[in-house]
Amino acid sequence: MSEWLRRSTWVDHVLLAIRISVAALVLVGLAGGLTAGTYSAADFVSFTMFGLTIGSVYALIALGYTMVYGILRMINFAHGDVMMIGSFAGLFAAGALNDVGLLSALPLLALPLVLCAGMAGGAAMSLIIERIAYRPFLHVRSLAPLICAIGMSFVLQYAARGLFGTRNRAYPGFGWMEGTVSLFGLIVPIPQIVAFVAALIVLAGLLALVKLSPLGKAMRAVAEDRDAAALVGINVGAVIVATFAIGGAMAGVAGVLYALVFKQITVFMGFALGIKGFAAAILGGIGNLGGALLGGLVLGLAEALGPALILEGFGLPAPYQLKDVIGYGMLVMILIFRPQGLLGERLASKRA
Amino acid sequence: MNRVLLSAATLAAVLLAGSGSRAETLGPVTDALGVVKIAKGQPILIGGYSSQSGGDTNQGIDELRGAEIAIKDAGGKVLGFPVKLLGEDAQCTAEGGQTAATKLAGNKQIVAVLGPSCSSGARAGAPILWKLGIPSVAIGATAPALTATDRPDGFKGFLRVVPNDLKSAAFTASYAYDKLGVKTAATIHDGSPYTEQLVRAFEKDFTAKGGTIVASEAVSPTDTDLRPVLTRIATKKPELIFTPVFTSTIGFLMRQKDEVVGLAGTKVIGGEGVFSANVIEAVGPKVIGFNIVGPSTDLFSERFPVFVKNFTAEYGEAPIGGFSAYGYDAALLTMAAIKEVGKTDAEGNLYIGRKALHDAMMATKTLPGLTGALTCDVYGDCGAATYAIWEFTSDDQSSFAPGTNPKRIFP
Repeated sequence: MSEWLRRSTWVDHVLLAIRISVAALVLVGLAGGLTAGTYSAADFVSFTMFGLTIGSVYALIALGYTMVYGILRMINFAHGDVMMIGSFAGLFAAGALNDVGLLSALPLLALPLVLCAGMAGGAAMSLIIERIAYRPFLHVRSLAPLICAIGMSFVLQYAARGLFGTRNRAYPGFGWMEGTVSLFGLIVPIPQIVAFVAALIVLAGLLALVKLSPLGKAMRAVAEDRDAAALVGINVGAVIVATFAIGGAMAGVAGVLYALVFKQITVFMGFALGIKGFAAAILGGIGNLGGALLGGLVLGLAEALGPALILEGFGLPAPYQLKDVIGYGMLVMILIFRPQGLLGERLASKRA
Repeated sequence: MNRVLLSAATLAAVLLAGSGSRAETLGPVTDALGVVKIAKGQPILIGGYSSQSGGDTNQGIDELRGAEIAIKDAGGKVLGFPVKLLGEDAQCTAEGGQTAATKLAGNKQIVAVLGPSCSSGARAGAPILWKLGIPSVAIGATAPALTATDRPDGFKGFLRVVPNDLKSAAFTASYAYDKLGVKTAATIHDGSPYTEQLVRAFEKDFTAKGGTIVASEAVSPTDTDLRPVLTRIATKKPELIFTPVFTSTIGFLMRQKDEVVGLAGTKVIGGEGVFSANVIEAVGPKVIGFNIVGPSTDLFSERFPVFVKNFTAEYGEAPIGGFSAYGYDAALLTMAAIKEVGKTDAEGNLYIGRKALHDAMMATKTLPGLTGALTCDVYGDCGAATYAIWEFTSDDQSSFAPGTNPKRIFP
């Protein structure tokens, strides 16, 4: 202790003070929230379920950010809008399936088809962006690709606005998937369960691809050292293209699952969700696939439970307005105290 | 040193005085706020800013179309000069209103501005315009604060043809308490000046009648998961939820409401912001039986059906809700005032004094508009429309037609 006092600077003291005060705030809020008794235990379980659902959507988006960052060291800010395009591709597929009556009759067959459309839309858009906007910057070390990505985000939003209009579009109903189911005495909407399970399946598939397949091995090699990977005969360009395609497909899945849960989509939805996905990627440790998954779920849970658990304890009126404060406040705290994210940036130490 | 201070003070005084009065004489007109000269053959420019884009409210397209019809009905001319409407997109945000107003204010030939659609845009935009002596006639901005007795000076040039929300709040409270016999209510707003001030006014009126507000909640316009808020409200067991939030939030709310234990039977009354076909798609099947408070378009003047016919012929689709009619009336009021104050010189040029125009607009009395007889009070409230409760009867989007879907259930 005395050793720490001697070695530490005022910065350490301030950081410690922040830690203590944040912990105290959270504890007081938690105690207040739990004793206020506004919500029953069933309510909290239902919030948790919901947090996991939206968290898995965030995780899917975060994967796209993290994969591209891992390989190119670049934040693809248009990724949220790729998700929007995927969501619209899913909408049109769902509309077509609805017209032939397949959607409500056989939702278990229709959903994978809609998901495929979303994946195809997202992957295609991602590939186009990579070809047009990012490949010219492949060997450029500057902020240009980042600015280009932000510009691309606006291009996609307003191109979609011109094509699809600004009004809210709703997905048609998926037959029995619209209902609710009683689980251990809790009423849970089926779309939440379907979205969560579908997200887990897709995530497991992606992890298997990255860990087990030759392509995954090549991706990991390029992420570790692009030049060395090229030297041992890996086609770096092809790996980058594959990464964008996979990231875009994940975004497409996220877009469709989001719409399955919330029903409404707009051409501007990509921005806010993209920021959330980006935050999730940072939270878990950017460049780290497991981190993206964890970050997404943690962000989703914090948003769903935070207002009820913590803000309620302070007796704030209308605490749900401050939902994002909890999520992003947590992000700020993580960045201050664990800049590498929850699980750490993959290979960070090795690369250094 | 003293002399420096003195001259600095004098300079400041001169500058202040300069920015305060812009008295100007051009041709036959002298005006305290400046004069707009329109050369012979040139058009009279009227600006317009409304919500042309944005997921929630793109009613602004309809509003400016209504204004165009008004100009067309006047033969496209006032005092022999063609009238031209310059539309800008104010979205439904303060930033949008600020950008659009700044853009319009840059054009010194603009005599008056129609719009905006949203109170948030008006709060940012109206003072920018009035600083240059340009009066604005709001089409959809209904927040009470904009024409309150203690409004800041920047809003002295602000008028509106849409009724003040105090009117709609009193109507809704009376419907809920007197007609439905509801004793407990909850409210939800989304932080925008329109929704917040409207629910506050409703709460005041409802409480004054003897009812109890059991929960007063807020969400943000981008929220998609409203279950926690609804769960919180459900614990207070209200008989009614009044929420004038916009389309996407209403969509999430109505779809998620029945998933929350205890709210399945609770009635929801929405606001006029969702008086459109979009809400049918947003809410889906649950829209049937959903009530909103909105202008009673079928109690508008007898010219309204003719207007709807002209509108449909011109734009290939029927107007949504009553917004286009407000757009029409805003243009009508402005053109009537221009007619009154515009003066021509011997060469045939037109001169319009800014203050004179503003005064003439504020002095509007029993002007026969589409929504009723327009009479402005000293604070700029000129709305003539009355309210009604509407109920949606079908979830087929193409069936949207005020009168049948939604149909008027009260009064």
